[in-house]
Amino acid sequence: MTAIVEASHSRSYRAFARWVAASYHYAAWILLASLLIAVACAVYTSRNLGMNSDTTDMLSEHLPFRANYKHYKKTFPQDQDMDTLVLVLDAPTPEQAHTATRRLAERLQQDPTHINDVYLPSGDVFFERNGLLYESVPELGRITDRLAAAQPLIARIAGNPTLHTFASVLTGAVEELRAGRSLELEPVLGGVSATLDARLAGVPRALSWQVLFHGEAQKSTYRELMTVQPKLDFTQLAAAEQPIAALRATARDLGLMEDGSVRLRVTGDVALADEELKSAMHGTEYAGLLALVLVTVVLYVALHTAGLILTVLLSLVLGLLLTAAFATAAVGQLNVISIAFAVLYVGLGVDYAIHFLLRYRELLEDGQPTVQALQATGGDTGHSLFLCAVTTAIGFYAFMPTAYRGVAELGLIAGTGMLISLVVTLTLAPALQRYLPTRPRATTTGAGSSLGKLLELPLRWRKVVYAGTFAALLAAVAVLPKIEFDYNLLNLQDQRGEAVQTFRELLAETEHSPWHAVALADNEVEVDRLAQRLTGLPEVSRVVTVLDFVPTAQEEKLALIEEMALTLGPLTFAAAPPVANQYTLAQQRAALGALSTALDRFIAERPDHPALVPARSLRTSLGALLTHFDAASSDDKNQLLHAVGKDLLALLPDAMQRLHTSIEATPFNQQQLPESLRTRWHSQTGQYRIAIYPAENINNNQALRGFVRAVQQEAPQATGAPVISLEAGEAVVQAFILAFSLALAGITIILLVMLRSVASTLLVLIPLLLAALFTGAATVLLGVQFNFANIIALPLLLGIGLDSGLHMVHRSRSDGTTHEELMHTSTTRAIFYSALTTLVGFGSLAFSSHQGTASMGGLLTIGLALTLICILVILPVLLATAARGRIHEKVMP
Amino acid sequence: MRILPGIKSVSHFCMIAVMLLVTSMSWAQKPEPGSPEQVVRRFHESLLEAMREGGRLGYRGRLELLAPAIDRSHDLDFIARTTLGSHWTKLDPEQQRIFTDIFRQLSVSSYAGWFKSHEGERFEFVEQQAMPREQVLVRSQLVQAKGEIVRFDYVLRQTKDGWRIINILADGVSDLALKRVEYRAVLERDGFPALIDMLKKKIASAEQG
Repeated sequence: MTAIVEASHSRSYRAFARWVAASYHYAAWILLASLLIAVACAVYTSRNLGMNSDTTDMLSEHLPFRANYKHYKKTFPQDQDMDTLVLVLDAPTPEQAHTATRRLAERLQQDPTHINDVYLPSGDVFFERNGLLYESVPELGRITDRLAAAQPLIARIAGNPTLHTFASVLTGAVEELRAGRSLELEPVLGGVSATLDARLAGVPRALSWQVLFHGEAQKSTYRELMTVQPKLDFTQLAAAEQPIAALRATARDLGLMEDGSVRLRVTGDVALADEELKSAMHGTEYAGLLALVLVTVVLYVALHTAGLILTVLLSLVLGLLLTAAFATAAVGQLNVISIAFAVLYVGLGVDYAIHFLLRYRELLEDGQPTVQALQATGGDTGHSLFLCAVTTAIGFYAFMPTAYRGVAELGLIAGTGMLISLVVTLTLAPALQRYLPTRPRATTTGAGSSLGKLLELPLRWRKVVYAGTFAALLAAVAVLPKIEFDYNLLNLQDQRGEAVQTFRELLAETEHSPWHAVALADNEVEVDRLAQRLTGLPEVSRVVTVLDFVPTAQEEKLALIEEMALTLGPLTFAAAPPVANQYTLAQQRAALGALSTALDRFIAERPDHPALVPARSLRTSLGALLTHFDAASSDDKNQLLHAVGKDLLALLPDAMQRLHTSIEATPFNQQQLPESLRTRWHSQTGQYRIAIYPAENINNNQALRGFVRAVQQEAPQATGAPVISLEAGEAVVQAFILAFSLALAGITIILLVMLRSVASTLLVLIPLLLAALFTGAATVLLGVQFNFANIIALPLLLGIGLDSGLHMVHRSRSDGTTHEELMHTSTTRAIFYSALTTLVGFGSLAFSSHQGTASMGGLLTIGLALTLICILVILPVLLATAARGRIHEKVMP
Repeated sequence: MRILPGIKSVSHFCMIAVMLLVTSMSWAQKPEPGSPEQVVRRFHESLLEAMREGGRLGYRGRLELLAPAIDRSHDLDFIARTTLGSHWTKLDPEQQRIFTDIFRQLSVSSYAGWFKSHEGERFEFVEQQAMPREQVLVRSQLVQAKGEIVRFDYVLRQTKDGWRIINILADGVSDLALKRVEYRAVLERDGFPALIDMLKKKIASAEQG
């Protein structure tokens, strides 16, 4: 048995040695060919490699949740939840929010090059006219009560909407209040006071009459949402860049800016994707530069000579170009996952060159001439590199049968990349040595020898290592069930982004959460049944169906609205409020003074009146205004009063207009709903859409899972963003588990075939499995959850763990070196420095602002550190034990 | 089988009715009797009469003169009900009857109290406008001797007895709105009997004033 291995070894040794020697011999031709190939690959790739940034496409279409979503999208093509931008407009008053939203919507509808569709959930004229029918019967009565209270004031202001009239009317009302009339002046007094205060504090905002009519205190912001379906161009890396830019330009035209009184923010799936792509790319530029510098530094420490460093870098570039060209030919387009082949290639491709060159240098230092040293290097490392490349390639190819196309394609590209790396290392590296001669240094490197000395320590304390490993193993197994996968794609993004922050804000308002589930029903009976059962779930806050858009008790409500209209009377405003003020400054000052005096009298005479508090606050605001006024110059006085008048009265005509529109409500049924609304809830094909809103903020993974599972109990076909995010997450996890299981099986078989020894196979696999286990446990202990981004680091860790283990086992088997000596060989140093290059290359990702990228860097750092421990500390101890066992076997056959 | 002739006769009746309407409209040079404008004019005439004869008639006399005129021009039951809003349905039938009764007395006595002497005032018709829900707005104004103008806008609706006033806006201020706020406050704070007491006091003060 041993003889056969030796024989095959020597056969392969000769083959690799010859190959390397030939490469050195025909160096000129090889370098020329390499250059031509590199250029050809670069041109071919840049011309033909496409990018598909559509992430939903990456999972198999046969998964049930994808089929459900596909069916849903076909039924409701104008789907408003996904592939859309959500515009969030915040304004100090509902009137301003409403007007701005309407204007923006009108403009966007005129831009068919960038925008497919604009949908205003609340801004439709239909809702403006019939909005009151959606109020409850008691609330309608209350609205009428409040309008009745405001009517006399408004009637008097309407004929002459000026500050002077307003002040005089208010004075009259306060006098009547003092005389004992019942007037509901509290909201008006409070509203006017707050408006004056805002103006004096330098943060003016208009008084919202609509809010006054609803008897509320004016909030700091009012929000309107708009859903926009942009025209996406998936051939671009940033598919939504142009529509978003166009939209922002339109908004700027209309004066809607970040810092204006009406604030526009853009979020929604499309904006999130766009922001993510940008932050990921932005992070990579710097990380890439930093990584290159750090990798060069590590290579210098390892290789010492510019020639060898250049060899590594040139091999890397050529291999990367060849792999990219292969990806172009085999797959045609990269996706967000498969683009990680570059990461894998850089991480593993460098290693092959390092192993080769360190052995070469080791031999040169032993005094061998260049050609012999190269031949010996080829023979020594060729076989182990071949083993590594084939095993790792098989490991990656094992990803291909998974349901996750991203992972499957990554497997194909990366697996082939390993084989390309092998060929490039064994061909280009020796060829380059002809023109980049390396002169060996007299002394061995200090760093290398101290590393070796450090690594000898575990061999002396084997029992400690075994005990430690066993304890760690137990601990790891104990925490293993707590490994979590974070499905939340928002957590991957730069948390400072506008789209992310706005989206989270919307999620927190669970009532209108942009993440809600959707179920379909065939008829109204089923809609009603499903809606009732879903509403009963504790995880569900509310359920919306087309039936909810047809108000109940319409007759009764219309009677109340009629009463409202009658009580309000036919208020009409002068077409445009008079701009030129017919009152002199003195008259206006006197009117305000009179109001102030009236308030004083009221406060003095009616100390227990319910309107006392707002009366006091208005008196204070008014006092401040008059003090400010008296101190100002004549021009400023004019300006101040004009501004105050505008703050108070500018929105009154608009509010009255909306009120008049709303009291024209007429009864309607489902068929009479506006088409844009109806078809969103009742499809052309006759299916009904049921929107299911979560009770909790499903930004949290537990809440997300609870919500989705509860909804699926009642509606197994349910779809929508939360369902897709959970199901996709699980599909990806399943895909990875399958991929790694297949990889493990494939690796085991290929190792058994190539090493022809169960013991050696186990020696390669044990550190690999231990590293995997420890890394999993470490994620729990360090609170680094697995997610869609850092899961990409796992194949790389697999490759490095496998390759390093193989190199160690191979070196210990092929030379008769003792295990203490093994720690001083080029193999150990190569493993250490390869891991270090990978670490500095990708560990720097941990500082990326893109949380997903950062977590990938973090996981890689943890995983690499643990892999190194398993390979350089535990494996040598195992090897030593195994060697003793072999000696023991030989002694006692 | 009797249905068809029935439908025929109904449709004949309709055609005749439509023709009558069309012809009557073409004759309508001056306000047709029973039109919203006419209802308001006749009410104003009664008010003017009460003012001119005010001293001779005295409060009681004015009351007797105006009560039938107001009944002919106003839908007081409806106004009473509307001023109470949702509170109306919370009253029992007896309370509703008491309230409607007192409300009617108050309305009549208020007019009898206000319009007691004539100093050259006159009412002028301004315009008639259709409003949503088949209501009509009649705009008019009271021109006082010194030329001061008070706008009086009447909202009318068609009842089984013809067009009737259901709200009055004096200088734009809605009478229904004023009363609704005032009555609701008393009702919610002190209850139904207090509201009736307050209305009775108002009636008494109208008599004195």
